[in-house]
Amino acid sequence: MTFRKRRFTLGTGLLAAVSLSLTGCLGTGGSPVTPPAEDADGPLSLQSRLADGDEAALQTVVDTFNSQGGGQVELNTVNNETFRAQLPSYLTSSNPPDVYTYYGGANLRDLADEGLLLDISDVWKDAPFSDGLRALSQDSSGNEVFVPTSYYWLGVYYKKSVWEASGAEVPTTWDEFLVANKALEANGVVPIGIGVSDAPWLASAWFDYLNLRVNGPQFHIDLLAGEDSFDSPEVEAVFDKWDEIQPYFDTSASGLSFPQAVTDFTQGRTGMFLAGSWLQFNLPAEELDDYDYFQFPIIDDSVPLGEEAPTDGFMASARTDQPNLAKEFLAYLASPEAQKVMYEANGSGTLIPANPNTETDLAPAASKGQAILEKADGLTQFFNRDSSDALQSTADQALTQYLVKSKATPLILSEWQAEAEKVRAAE
Amino acid sequence: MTTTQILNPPLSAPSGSNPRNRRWRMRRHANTLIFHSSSIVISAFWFFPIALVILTSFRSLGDIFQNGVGSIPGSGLVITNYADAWTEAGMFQAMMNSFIITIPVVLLSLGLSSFAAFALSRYRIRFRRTLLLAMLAGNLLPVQLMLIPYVRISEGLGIFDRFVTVIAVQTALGLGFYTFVLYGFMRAIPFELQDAASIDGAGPLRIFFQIVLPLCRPALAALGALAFTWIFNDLLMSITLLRTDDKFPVTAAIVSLQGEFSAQWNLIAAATVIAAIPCVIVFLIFQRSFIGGLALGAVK
Amino acid sequence: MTVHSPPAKSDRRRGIATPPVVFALVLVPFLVETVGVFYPAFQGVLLSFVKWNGLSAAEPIGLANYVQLTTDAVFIGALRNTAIWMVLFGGFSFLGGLAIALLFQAERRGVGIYRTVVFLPMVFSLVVTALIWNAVYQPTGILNETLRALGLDSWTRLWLGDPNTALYAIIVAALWRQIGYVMVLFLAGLKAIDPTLMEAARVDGASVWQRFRYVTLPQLRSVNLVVISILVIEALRSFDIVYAMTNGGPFRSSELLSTYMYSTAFTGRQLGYSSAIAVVIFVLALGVIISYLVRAFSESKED
Repeated sequence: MTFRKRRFTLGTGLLAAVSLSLTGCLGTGGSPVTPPAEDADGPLSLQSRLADGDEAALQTVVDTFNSQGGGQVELNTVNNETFRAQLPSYLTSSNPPDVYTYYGGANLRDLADEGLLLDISDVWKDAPFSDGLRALSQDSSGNEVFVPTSYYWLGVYYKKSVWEASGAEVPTTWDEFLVANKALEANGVVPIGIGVSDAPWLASAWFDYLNLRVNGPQFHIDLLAGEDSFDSPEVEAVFDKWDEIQPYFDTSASGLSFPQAVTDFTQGRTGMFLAGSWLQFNLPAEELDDYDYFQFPIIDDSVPLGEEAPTDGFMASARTDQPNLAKEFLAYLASPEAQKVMYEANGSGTLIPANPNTETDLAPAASKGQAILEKADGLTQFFNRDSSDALQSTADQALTQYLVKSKATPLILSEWQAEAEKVRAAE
Repeated sequence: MTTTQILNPPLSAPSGSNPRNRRWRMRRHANTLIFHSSSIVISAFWFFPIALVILTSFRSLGDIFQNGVGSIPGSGLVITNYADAWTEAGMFQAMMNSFIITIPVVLLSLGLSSFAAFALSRYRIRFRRTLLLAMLAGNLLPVQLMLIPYVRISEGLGIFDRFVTVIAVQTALGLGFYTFVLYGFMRAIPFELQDAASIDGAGPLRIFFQIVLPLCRPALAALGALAFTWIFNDLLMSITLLRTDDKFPVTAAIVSLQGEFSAQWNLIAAATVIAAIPCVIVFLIFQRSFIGGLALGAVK
Repeated sequence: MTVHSPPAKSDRRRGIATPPVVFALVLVPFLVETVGVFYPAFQGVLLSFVKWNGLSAAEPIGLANYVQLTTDAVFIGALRNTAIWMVLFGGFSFLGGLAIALLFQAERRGVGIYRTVVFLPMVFSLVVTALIWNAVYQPTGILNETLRALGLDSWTRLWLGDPNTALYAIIVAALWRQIGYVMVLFLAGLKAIDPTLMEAARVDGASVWQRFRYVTLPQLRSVNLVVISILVIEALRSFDIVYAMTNGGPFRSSELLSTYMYSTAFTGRQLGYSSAIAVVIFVLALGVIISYLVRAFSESKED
C-alpha cells in the first residue's frame, strides 16, 4: 500500500498549485478572438444534427453550393443528442468545426454572449427577414450571429375519420374544444394522446400553449427568463384551465413511450396530439390525407395571440479559420434560392422557409401554418429553446407530476419554482 | 433423476457392469431431453427480443408507423432495409472503421496485459499486489471523469479526431482489467513447469511464449471475445474523440440514424443486425477455444 | 488444491533473481495505463474543484461541489438506486451467469448454439434493443398483453411509468444483456478446472452437489473475483439502458449515479459538479472492491 499512500500525499500537495494552472488550461471561452483576415485552405466543415429528410435536404444544398465554385463545404452529421452534449466541446476547441446547424432563442444568445459565435452582421445588412426573426438571431448586444432558414408550427393534430365517427367538430374556442373532447370520450376514444415516459418535453407543449392563451406571449417569455415565478397567480390560472381538460388526457401517459403514443394516435385509440409539424414524419404515408391539425383554441380574445414557431438555422464559430467562406456560405443559406432547394429536397412540406422571398409552392399544411403564424401578435420558440435545457428538465419533472396528479398543484408549482431558482443559481 | 445430476452427466454407467443396459440408456435419453428442453426455454427467453429486432429489420417504415414497433407486422415484409443500411446509411464504412479500431486494440491490450500478468504472477516483484490493484483501480474510474481531459489532451497533441487516439485510449482503458483476469489464470499454472524450463536455460520470454501463454488459451479466448465485443460496440469513446462522421464506428453510426423527433426503425434495426454479425462470428470461433483446461493434466 | 505461488525466499538465496526483462514486462503496460488513464483521471479530479459550464472560464471553488452533494436530494436518491442496482443487477448476473455456464459447460451437441444465443444481447446495439424492451413494457405491450391473456389482469402495470416498478423493469432488461457476458467468464473458468480432480471426486463417490461444492466452487474462486469486480464496474457504469428507457424517470425513481452524472454535465452544464459525482462513484467502487480483493489476496498467503 506504500505506493498508493505516496501517490495520495503527492496528489494533495500538488492540488493547490495545479488547480490554478489547470483552470488556465481548461478555462477557455470568454476571451475575445479576432477572426483572421485571410481564410485558411481546405473545405469548410459543417457540423449538423439533422437526420433523415432534413439531412438529405442539407446535403443537396451543400452539393449545390459546392458546384457553384465559390468554395467547398463538407457536411458532417452526428446524432442530435450527441451534438447537444458536444456543442461546448466543439465551440471551445482549438480547431472547431466552422459552421453548425442550430436554432434561435435563448440558447443561441448564451453561446453568443460567451463570445463563441462569429458576428455575421454584414450578412444581415440587406436581409429581408422580419424583425421577429432578426431579434431571434441576435446576441444580447444586438449583433447578428445566426441565419434562420426555416421554422415550423405546432398544432393539435387529429385524425379526420376518428372525429367524424365521434361526431366531434374542429374547435376554435375553448368551449368548442371542451365539447369536442366530450364527444370523443363518449365514443370510447381517449380524447388527448400523449406519451411522457421517454419524451416528457411533450407536456411542455401543453404548458406553453395554455400559458400563451391565458397570459399572453410577453408573460410567457418573462416567466422563462426568470422575471416571473412559477408559483405566481398567473401560472396558477394556467393550471386551473388545465384542470378542465386534465381528465381527458391519456391516463397511462407516464408509462407510455413516444412511439407508442403516436401509434395509439394513428390507430384511433386517442383523438388528438399536440405536436409540431414533425409529427408528420411518424404518420403512415398512405393515410396522410386523413390527418389535419387545428390551431390551439383561443381561451380569451382580449389576450394577445401568441404562437410557437421554433426556428432552425445556421451559425458559425468565432474561432473559425475561414470566416469569409463561412459568411459566404451563410449568406447563401439565407438566400431564397437555397431555401427553395432545401424546401423541395426535404419533400415533407413541414418546414416553412424563413426567407419571405422564397419562390416555392408550400404544401397545404405549410401554407395553413404560415397563415396562422403571420396572424400572431408574438412568437415564441418552445420551452427549452426559450430558456435552457436545464430549465426544461425542471418542467419535465413538474408537468409529469401534474399529469399523474401525484401532488396538489400548489405544491408542484412551489417545488418547480425552487428547482428553477437552483438552475438559475448554477448558471 | 435429480436436476443436479443433469449438470454433470456421469462418464461411466452408475449401475451394472454392462454399459449398454436399458436403465442407463433411458437415463441418458431423459438426461438429454431435460438438458435440451431447459436450454431451449432459456434460449427462447433470451432470443425473443433479438427476434423482434430481426423482425423489425424486415418491415417497411409505413408498417411500423401503422401498427407500432412491437406489433405483428401488417403489410408485407421487405428486404430492402439491409441494402439501404449497407450503402445509404453507411454501415459498410462504419464496419471498416470498427475493424480498424477494434483489432489493434484487442491485440495491443491483450498483449500488454499478458506480459504484465505474467511478470506479476510468476515472479517475485516487490509491490506486485499493489501494482495489480492500482492497475485494476484504473478500471474503476468512471469514464465520464476523463472525457474532457481526453479531448483537451488530444487536441493539445494535435491528434484529435484520429483513429490513433481512439486506439490508444481504448488500449489503456482495458489494461487493468485484462491484467487482473490473466493474473488469476496464470497464478494457477504449476511452478514445476517453469522451473523445469529455466533449468534447461530458458529465459522469461521463452517461458512466457512456450509454456504460460498456451496454457492460458481459454482465458485469452474468453477475453478476446469479450474485448472484441466491448470495443466493437463502444459508443462513448468514439463520439467523444471522433468528430467526422465517416470515421464513426458502427454504434456511433447507428445512433446517428436517429432523428430528433422520429427514426427509421426498420433501417436502424437492419443496421444493428449487420453490426452484430462480426461479433457473433468472433464469439463462435472463440467459444470452441474455451476447451483448454485439459492441458493442465500434463503435469501429472 | 492450493494456488501455487512464486518461488519462496529460500529460492532467492539460491540465486534465482528476477530477470530485468520481467520488470520491463510490467512497467511498460503500467506506464501506458498511467499516461492513458491515471493522468487524464487526475485532470478530471481537479475539475471537481471548479465551477464550469464548458463555455466560459472555470472558477475554482474548492470543496463546494462536494458539500453540495451532501444536501442534494437527487444525488442521495441516485446513490440509493445505484446501491439497489448493484445488489440486484450484480447478484442476479452472478447467479444467472454461473447457473447457465454450469448448464452449458459440457461440449455436447447444440451447446454452441445455446451459448451464442445467450451471448447475443451483448452484441446487439442498445439503441434498438432498448426500443424493443420499451415496446415490451408499454401499457398495451407484450408483457401486459401476455398477463391479460393468462388472466392475470391485476398484475398489469405501467411498468415504466410507476415509480415502484421502473427501476426493476430496467434491471431485467440489463440482466438480459449482462448474463451472457458473465456466462462467458464462468465458462472459461470452468474449462480451466483440472478434470482429474473431478474424476477423482467422482471415483471417491461424491454426489453431484458435493462435487460442485468441494471441487468446482473452490476452483472458481479466482474467477469469482474477476466476475464480482466486473459486475461492480458494470453496475456503476450502467448508463445507456436507463437513459434510453426512462432517462432516470419517473420522478427520478430510476435515476442512477451514472445518469445523474450525465444530466448534470450535459443538461445542467455543471461540469465541475459532474466530476465531483464521478469522483464519488470512483471512491465507492474502490471501497466495495478493495476490501474484498485485499481479503481474497491475503487468503492465498502470498508475500
